[in-house]
Amino acid sequence: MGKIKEVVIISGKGGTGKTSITASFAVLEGENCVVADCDVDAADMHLLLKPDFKNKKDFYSGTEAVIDPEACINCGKCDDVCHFDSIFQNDVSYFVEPMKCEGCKYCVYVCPTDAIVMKDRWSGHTYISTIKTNATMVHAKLGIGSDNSGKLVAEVKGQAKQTAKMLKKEYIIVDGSPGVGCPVLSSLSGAKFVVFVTEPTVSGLHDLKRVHELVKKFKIKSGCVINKSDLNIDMSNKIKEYLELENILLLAELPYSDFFKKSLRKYETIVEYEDNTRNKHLQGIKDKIKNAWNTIKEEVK
Amino acid sequence: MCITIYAFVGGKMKIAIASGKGGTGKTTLSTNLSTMIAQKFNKNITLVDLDVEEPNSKLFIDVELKKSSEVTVMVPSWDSDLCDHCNKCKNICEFNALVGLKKSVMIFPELCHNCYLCSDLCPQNALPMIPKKIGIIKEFKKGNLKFIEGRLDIGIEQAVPMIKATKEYVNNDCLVIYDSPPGTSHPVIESVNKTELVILVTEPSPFGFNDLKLAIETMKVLKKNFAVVINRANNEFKEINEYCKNENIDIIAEIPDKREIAELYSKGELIYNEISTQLIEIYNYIEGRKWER
Amino acid sequence: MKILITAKGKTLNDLVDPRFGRATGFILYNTDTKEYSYHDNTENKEAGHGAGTNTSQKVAELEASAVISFHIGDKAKKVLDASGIDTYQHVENITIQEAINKFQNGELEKD
Repeated sequence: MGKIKEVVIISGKGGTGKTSITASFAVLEGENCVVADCDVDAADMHLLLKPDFKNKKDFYSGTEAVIDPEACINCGKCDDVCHFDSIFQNDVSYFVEPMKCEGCKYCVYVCPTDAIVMKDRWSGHTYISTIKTNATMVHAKLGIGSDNSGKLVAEVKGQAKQTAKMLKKEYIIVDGSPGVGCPVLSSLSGAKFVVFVTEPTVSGLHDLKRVHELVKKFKIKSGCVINKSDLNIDMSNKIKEYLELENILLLAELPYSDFFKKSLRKYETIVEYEDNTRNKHLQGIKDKIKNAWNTIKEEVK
Repeated sequence: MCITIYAFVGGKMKIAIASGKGGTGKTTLSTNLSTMIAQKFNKNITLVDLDVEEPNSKLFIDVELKKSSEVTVMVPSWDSDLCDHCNKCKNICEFNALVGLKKSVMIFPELCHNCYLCSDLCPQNALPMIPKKIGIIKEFKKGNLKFIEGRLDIGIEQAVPMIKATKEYVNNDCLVIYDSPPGTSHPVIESVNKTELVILVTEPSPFGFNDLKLAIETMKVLKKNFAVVINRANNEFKEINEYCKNENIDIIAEIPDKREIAELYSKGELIYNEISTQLIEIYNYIEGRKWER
Repeated sequence: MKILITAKGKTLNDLVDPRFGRATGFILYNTDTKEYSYHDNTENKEAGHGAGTNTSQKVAELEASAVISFHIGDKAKKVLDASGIDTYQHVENITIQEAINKFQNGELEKD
């Protein structure tokens, strides 16, 4: 069995079309892949791929302090040492506000009656679902107020790798986390190819450069999709210059088109969307995305 | 054109502009709204960019740098002279920021959560806390617009202390607008803390709607006052409007989806002339009611 | 001398674990006596941040002279360097026994 090839799609900046492109690649590859939605803070891919939300598992990350009201003698030593303003007092005893607790355990050390224990912190759910192409998708929902440290992303990736191995799938297609922090790094681990999705705007180029600096360190082959490319020809050219300079493959230039919104509103990827008019413009966009995916597959052979 | 501005009650409010999803137009709204208030309404306004990992409001507004200040957090350091190698600190750090070796103690400030536990517990006081720089606050000004930007140093991940410090830096002597980072996790929670109103920016698409609901859920848990602005509005996706109607959530304004606006934005230009009607609606909404925290 | 290899399993026939900080476990191998022991690393495998620093602290306690893995993170490497432990990276897709053989034949490149 050949090695599993992981393709990760990231964007630095939000709103460039990363999730839509990732879902398109997933639809094109059909059953021969495992899909991973690592955009755990604002997961959207499920809207396009229609997972059945099976195999729900609780996800725990870190710990939080819990005070036993019966053992508490209201001395307030815990509040004195807490640097995060997470300890309050009510009529009965002191208590910890979980969203503010950092999990440092200082209060545990100073409590004279051992009234404080550390509990595993519930942080969200993971799912292993079947999607509309019959492929498997691993996704997650981060709990409200939970820290997005990258651990949930690592969990999603881990489950995706395991599943791909078990089901003998050739590709793992990953919708990466936005930004430049730990969740992005976590999304990138093990990637054989990175796809940057950007737009020809001042912020788009700015964030592309920033996220590329991050990826450079890992020396992974990379390519770029420029979305809404005809919005600003000047900026598009600047981006293309940057891509050439940095040895990033230009995978596709997709025009600013109503079809993207139309397909999204039908909860479909653009490669599935059918317009009764057999529009050449639409077919052109579909072909560009197909070619991009085929190019990626060639690059990771 | 006749512009009506309602008499406002106390112009020293703090408003946060947030969204569940990135790319909906938070920075577009915050930069254009504050520029409009400063230039067209001729009022003092402070815009604060709290997207500390990657603040990019400065790309759009024309202001001059006035001041720069370093932001530091306290982290432990190792005093080898005082240390008697008792190894009490070895396994005490929940964040693995402290490593106890045979003859030395190594500290990794980037992992430290600044809880002071190791320092306070050392019987020899051999782990004194020292300040460590995590970023810079820059203050800019031009006319009535004051712009404050918090920026984390590269490689530093502690967004929350940086956001706190940037907010503390701000003088509460006029209306303040916070441009929050996207999402719903800790940096956003810190950004919307102690504000009178949170404006959630969304776009009319299934993604925008999905993420708006997540943001609303978060605002409800935090018990914030909030209202919605729809950016790139059209007449075809109406699910957000219906949802807000059913949930009694105010939609303050709908900024239209025009290619000309997108093109101006792509060049890094402001668009407040193109969307002045909507900006006035938003300003009136902010100033026209008495808000309680 | 004692050398430490990151391990996916408990025997010399198991594969090298490409990670250090979040490795499943380690094999500590004595090149003189050919004896070995397995050390579980689950607590760090599950850690959020700082898996590398805690793991390297543990490894320093085991008194290995060299560590063999695929990728050792910056922070972990700092600790190993400070402890005078040699590191060998870029080893993957072979068994622990094969890694030990390569080490003893001088085929591995020290960092």
